Amino acid sequence: MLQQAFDNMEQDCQQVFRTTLSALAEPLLPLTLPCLPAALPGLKPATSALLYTLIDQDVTLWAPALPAATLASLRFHCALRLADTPEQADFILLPAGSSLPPLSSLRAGSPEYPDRSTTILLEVEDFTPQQVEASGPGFASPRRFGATGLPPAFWTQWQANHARFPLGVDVLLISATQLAGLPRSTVVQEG
Amino acid sequence: MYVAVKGGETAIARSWDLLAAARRGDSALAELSLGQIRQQLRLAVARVMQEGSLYDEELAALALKQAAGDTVEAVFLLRAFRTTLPRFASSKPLDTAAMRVRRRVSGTFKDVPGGQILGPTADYTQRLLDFSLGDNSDVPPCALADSGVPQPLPSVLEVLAAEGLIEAEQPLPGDPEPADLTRQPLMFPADRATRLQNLARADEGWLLGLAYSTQRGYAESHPFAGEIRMGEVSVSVCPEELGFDIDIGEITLTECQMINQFAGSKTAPPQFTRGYGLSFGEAERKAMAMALVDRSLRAEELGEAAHAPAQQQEFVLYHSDNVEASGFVQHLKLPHYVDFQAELSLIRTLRAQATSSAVQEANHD
Amino acid sequence: MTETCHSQWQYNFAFLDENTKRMLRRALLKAVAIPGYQVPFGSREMPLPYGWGTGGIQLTASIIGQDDVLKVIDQGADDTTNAVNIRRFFARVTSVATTSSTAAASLIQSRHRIPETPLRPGQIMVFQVPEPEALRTLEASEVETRKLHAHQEYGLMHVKLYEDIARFGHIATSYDYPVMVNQRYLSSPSPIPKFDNPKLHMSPALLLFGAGREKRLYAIPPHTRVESLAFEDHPFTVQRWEQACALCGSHDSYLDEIITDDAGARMFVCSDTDYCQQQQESKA
Repeated sequence: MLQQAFDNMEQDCQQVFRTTLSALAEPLLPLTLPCLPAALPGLKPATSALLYTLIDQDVTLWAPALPAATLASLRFHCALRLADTPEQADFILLPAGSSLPPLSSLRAGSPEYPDRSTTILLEVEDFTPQQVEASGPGFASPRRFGATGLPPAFWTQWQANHARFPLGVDVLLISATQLAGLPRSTVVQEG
Repeated sequence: MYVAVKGGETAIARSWDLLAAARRGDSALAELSLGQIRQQLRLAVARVMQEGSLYDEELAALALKQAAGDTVEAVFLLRAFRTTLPRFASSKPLDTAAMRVRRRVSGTFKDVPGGQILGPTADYTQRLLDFSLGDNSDVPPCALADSGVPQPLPSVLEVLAAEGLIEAEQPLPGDPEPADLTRQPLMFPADRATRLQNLARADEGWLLGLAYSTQRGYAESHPFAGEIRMGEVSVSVCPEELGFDIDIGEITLTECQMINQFAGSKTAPPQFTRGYGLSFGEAERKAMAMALVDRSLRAEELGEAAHAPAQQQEFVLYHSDNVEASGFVQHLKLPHYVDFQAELSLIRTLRAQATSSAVQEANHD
Repeated sequence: MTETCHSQWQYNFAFLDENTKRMLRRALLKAVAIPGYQVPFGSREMPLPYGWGTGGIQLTASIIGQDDVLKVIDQGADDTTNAVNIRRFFARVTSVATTSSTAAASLIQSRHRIPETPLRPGQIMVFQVPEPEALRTLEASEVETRKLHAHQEYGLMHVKLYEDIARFGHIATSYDYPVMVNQRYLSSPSPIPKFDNPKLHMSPALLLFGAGREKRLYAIPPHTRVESLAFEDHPFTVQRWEQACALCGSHDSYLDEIITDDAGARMFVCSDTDYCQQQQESKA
């Protein structure tokens, strides 16, 4: 019933973390994860990799209903603690096709501690440079970006999220094997 | 002639050798065993465990040996080792009321339920150097069995509490889990549980000086030693997979409950208030100092003016940790060539400016 | 309560346990998302003293992997005692390759300097920070400085710099010169000489800052605006020397002054020992 996590938890988590760090340092530049575990039921392999890397008993995760096998594996490997509502969670996991809670309702930190904010793991189908032009810290020059399978009106919500900077949520966009970071500092123009 | 800075690695290796040789001293003399340190320097071991936040006599003895008796260095060694230890479980709260008491004194009543129990203390010795210890001395046998101490030993403060003369000590609403300063940074304002944790790890000398300052007019504390007790307390854990408590051993603790005068406020009647101190091992000075500082840090909560250093949270708690303080004071030994060069250029510029403006002023005159 | 003496104690890869690394990693991700903002983190005691680079060491320990090539410098030099000690520590607990070459390193931990050789994309630089709060000398209370950052209220610092100008004719801060990151947070660049400040601006490398004793970390992502504070009529300037490096002849590097005899004779040499050696070799 339990899924195998990484072959070498310590080294593989380090590799995935470094990719995640790079993804947020140079936002909206899709990066391929260097190692992938077996996919947890209902999730993409890259999502499983990120959960093993980022989640433990010190944080809470909110997700729509997940398969029992996935929950059991996450409890075993990450000492997963589920949050009751998205508004309370440190991390929010949105498998492909889930509806997006209003970003403005989620933990955005406080003026003194803007880091006390939610990180969203958002699954998409694929990356395509078609939707927006983005700039901000981490962009040597503006970059085109897009993703298929994003929740409707995502970019409009994102603009409102960025407008509250330094408060706000941060997003990791995840395809089957790739990852793109979207920190609250990123400015996005549609079209 | 300029000597290249290369060669650092060799110099460091030589300094290690010198350190090891200096630690060992004259090899004609017997080497200290950890058992000897645990048995014969038990108070040093207790302090290292307390400020090192790790109850392990053997490791504390090793740290003391490695540090050649430098307590603060030994605390540092133990803390750095502690960092690498995985956390299996959290213990249940310790029940000091159930302590197997070896010493209990109170400065408030001549006699108290259960009596004054002096135990192993230097308090009533004359501090004369005992030259007989200079030789290998045989201590006359001592009757250790102290069967007279009732267990549990009633707490002195319960007498006052029964009359309502001392503030009740209640958990906060919902009994929230306290912060863990070994895993979370100190944040302000810090609640009492967090402050006590910081004080428990605090340098004894720092606490002692601050506590002393509250007695000398820098804070109005008017303290009495309500009760000081020392003895053994059981530690238990409740593993989630078992669902019931299991006893994992016992530790020696010293607990101090200070009683402080309190004239009352808008919301509270005149009553005695509490200051609390707790330490591993036999550590009365530490526990008492901690209790005094705990009380002085409650100034704001009790509506007292808080202008003395010992009443200011950030000042007291940010500077209490001797591992932090020792490191930062001593980091001045590290090279600062780059910054010093920058300051040197600046001072030269400022001096040149001062000289030329003085010359100009002289010409104007 | 153990009776064993752990004579064969095996430390985890990079010393820290995996939970501690995850805590640090989560904090780093927030730091990158809010450039220049100081994220509190649960700093641990490390086997080197606080004030000797524990913040940098913890950051390095949380990001380093088997493929990394690590360079450690103190005052620009690879062989100063503390740099040697930190490099040996990581060699011992990770077995990664180490180097003195800025170009060859994937990860550079530094105290007080940014190398003269320009950093490249993909590199990560970790700074050791003694006091992360740029406002600390002006306001001792952390509660108060947090409020000042929340309101982006940096008047105190501007007044301080302006008083310098009124008194000395220029700003009398030569190192740890405050910067505005991404036009939002006033930040300490760590005690690098202001000579190095321009290297922070739009750096192609990711810059991470760790303050272990103060339990704060922060980041400057690549390609991020970093401005040294200045006034229109008093623009920011960096240190210049009349001398060239006595060893490599460089005119554009930061120089250390070395006293060479009892009579006070002195010479100037590059503080960046790797850069100096590259220059000497390219001329040989």
